Amino acid sequence: MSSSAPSVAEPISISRIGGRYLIFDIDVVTHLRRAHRICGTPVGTLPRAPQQNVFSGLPMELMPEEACLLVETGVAYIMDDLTWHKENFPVAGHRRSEYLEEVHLIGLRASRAQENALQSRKQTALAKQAAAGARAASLKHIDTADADDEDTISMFHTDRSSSRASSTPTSGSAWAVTPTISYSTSPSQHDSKSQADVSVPSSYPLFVYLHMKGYYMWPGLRFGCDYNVYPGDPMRFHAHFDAVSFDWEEEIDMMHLVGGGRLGTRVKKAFLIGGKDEDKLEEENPVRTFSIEWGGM
Amino acid sequence: MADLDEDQSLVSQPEGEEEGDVLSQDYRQLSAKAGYRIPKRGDKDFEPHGTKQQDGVLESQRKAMHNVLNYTRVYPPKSHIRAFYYGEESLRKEYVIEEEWRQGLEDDHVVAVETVKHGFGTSMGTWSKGKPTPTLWLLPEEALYLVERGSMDLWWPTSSSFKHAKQHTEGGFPEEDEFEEGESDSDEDVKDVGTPMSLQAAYAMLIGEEGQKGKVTMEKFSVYTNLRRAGYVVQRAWKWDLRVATLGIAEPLVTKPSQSTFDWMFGRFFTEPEVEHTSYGPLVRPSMYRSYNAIFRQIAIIPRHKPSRIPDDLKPEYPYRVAYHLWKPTSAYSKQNSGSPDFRIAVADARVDYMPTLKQMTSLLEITPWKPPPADILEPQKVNQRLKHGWRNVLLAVVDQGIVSFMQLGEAAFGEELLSGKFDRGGTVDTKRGGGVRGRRRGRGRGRGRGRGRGRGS
Repeated sequence: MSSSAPSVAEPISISRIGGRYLIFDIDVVTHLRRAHRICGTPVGTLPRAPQQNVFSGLPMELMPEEACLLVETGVAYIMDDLTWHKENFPVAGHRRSEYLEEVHLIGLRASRAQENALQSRKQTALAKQAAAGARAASLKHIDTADADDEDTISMFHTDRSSSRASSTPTSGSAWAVTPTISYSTSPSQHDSKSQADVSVPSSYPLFVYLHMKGYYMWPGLRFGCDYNVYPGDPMRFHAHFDAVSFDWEEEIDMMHLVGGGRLGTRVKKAFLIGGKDEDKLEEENPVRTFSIEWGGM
Repeated sequence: MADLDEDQSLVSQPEGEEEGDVLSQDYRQLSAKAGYRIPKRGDKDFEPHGTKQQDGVLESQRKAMHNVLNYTRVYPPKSHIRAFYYGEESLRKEYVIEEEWRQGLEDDHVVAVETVKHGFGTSMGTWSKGKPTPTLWLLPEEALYLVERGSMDLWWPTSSSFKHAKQHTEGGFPEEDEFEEGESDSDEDVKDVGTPMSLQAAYAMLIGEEGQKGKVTMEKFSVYTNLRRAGYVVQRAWKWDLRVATLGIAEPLVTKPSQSTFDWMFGRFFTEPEVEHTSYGPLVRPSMYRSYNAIFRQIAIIPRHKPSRIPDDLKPEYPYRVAYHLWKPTSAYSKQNSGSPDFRIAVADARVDYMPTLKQMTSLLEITPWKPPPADILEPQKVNQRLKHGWRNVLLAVVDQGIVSFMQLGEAAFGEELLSGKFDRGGTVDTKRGGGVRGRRRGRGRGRGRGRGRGRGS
């Protein structure tokens, strides 16, 4: 479990599955967040806390905008995961044997870690029992000693039974494992074949513009906008804007402005509208943005 | 390792959403220290102000997230459940498994569970029919959900992986052997029975586009897992929910004749005559009126929607059709005898789909069963509750890149809640003040309808 910033070689691979852009590698997720202000939405179930919807786990789902931006800036390439797996997997090959080897290693490590944990628990339980015994002998505090004893005995029993169960049949054999990733992302796998176009919505220029300004973006469904715009990492900061993109010549319904402005003000955000000027494409920033706040006059 | 029994508890969603920030996930709350209990959402700052303290907090949050997500699913031998994938991208079940072992299955049942433990199949999958030892087959979303939550180990099979098929070809050993074989499977891993899938591979195999055989779309899967994590029992609504649709059509055939007989006998006494308007003159014909209702009926010239038990026979259009049936988690639930679902849900993609048209909405509502407001909200003053409940209702899940929002569509019928009736009833309310007065009024028959003026007069 490396808590220091993991080093990830770019370009990284983004898995395209069923038309969605997913990232399975936690190192890549952390890297994109730190280095490129790309967060994605965790969509998976956490195996250690599976009955809740507050926290989600891997994979991360990227918006097409995020994927497209990463591809355009050369940070990432798109990998068709179905094709890759069909080419590399059910058949026997050296890749498969490597993979099996790795799975075996993880399983071995897990079973050993479990055994070690059991050992150490056993030892602490023994020590506790000894201490309790000594205390009981010296202080003759029957009540507490009884309670302590029961405690340690029951703990001891479960320990013994579970360690027996797990060590007799396996004893050094590997546990079954579902690894999270099939291949570690590496620039070497990047070939022209895997390159693919990402189709993005018309709000893409606004996304790029805000991203370049240093903002973080998240899908804006809950606030009825294209993006929620954050001044820093969304896990630490509140969103400042609800952004909606319009075409340059598009007529904007007044009700839209009032509605967005009111909603944004209500949730302590500003309503932001923006669009790309198609006539000024040669300029560096053809996107203009305005923020609207509901004035309580 | 988490047990499936946990499914029984409905998760209470945290409420603190004044800011409306749903996405504030402070993974520090979900560390080993916190014991993986359901945590509260974290606090957030307004904006970065460049202090070391703030950077430190952010850094620790990022680390916590990294550590929580950096977890490999391992299965201790005791709780190891293995399953094999027999879908389009691998050895298809039609090729590898003999027909008698896969009776009663749909095309989308692509994952066979090898050994079923602790109540696995009570709310998921389908048991194959026709053989004394059936196999549990799972749909793609069910299999992927189980893999994701670390409850099941999914493998690519080889042609000899399927236990029963293998046994069958070996000459049909008696059933008693099966248990032993199941137990010793973990040691047999050395033999080539297949390859364990990674989570990534499972996604690649099981997630697909709409209409692909043996796959589920990402948005449907997001909705499925979201509901499962919240504790609901979720079943696919097969074939555009045809079962319910036919039920809706079959019912009126029985009830309608009896209705018409009733109408024929008493109808002319009870049903009020149609209002006819002359081409000139006022809407309300000059006359003597003793009830407001009679006046309001004449000025109601715009037709109102009247909910009907008999659907219009519209074909539901993609994506607005029922995708899943939901049951609240109770111990009484069983797949064979599930009863009518508590909720029905359709799934839409926020990026692709538009607000349903009237036709789409009507057809969606009409494949759900007729469900008028229940008896406990039939009192006259509970108008709002009735309107909210509707005559039919369906849930709509909207998915935007993994974020799911739920809303309810109900067939509300304002035309069934005539407020004009209230004015007439006003008189009777007044009369409750004294029994004697009431009795006197009754004697005058239709005079009830005169309402307030009356009360004052007495």
